Amino acid sequence: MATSRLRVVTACGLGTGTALYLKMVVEEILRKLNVNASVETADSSLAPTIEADIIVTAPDLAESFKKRSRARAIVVVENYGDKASIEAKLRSAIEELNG
Amino acid sequence: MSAAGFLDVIGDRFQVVDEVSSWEEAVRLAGSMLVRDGVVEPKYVDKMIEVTKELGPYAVIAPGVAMPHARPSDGALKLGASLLLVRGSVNFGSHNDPVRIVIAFATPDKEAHLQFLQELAALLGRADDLVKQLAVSHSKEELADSIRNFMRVCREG
Repeated sequence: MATSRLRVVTACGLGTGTALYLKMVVEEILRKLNVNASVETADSSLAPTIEADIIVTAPDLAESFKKRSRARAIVVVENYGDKASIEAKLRSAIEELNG
Repeated sequence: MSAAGFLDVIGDRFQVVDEVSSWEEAVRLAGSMLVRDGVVEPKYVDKMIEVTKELGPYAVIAPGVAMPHARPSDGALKLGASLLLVRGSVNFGSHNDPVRIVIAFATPDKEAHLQFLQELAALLGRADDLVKQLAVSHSKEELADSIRNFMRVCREG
């Protein structure tokens, strides 16, 4: 899908529990989509400072990232169990970055 | 890496209550099981509440399911979790309210709980069914049985 390696950051307030959970889910989806990407976790203060291609995070954090993040795209996850919706959102974010 | 799965990490830390007065009380009840078993220091429970107040109710990760946690450095002594069922439900102020399942979680090490998270992902993929099935439990024994059955069904597809 993408030619260059994507830098993806999964973020939660602390950068531990939920960010690590998202990293695992996102890595699985990107492998399935055959996307060349690195996925790293970050907390809410570190995440917006990273020059990432995509930040994946929860709605309340996404709001604040939208104002000050250096990332090119933000994917908002409401339901962490809904892999189909996470996949659809990632796919459209990647298409937009590539287009 | 530890091979501790979801049920290993919870052990016998299950509890059922009919009602709570607030989400703080729910987090405190779930957290006190971790304190009782030496999984966390008492301050970890205060931190879970503080973090949720500071950073918003993002700990409510799927419809009806919350997973409050704090930092490893906030007093997490070992990998462990507890599962509280609030039969009457409680609101955290999240788009995933009302919450019935509260999974308090602690790990001293960022990478030690991959299998737990993988099994959690499988459970959250069916969060609506999970909450419905667990919500009828009246005791910790029933709750533990329900989740074991649910996981079996998940694995069998």
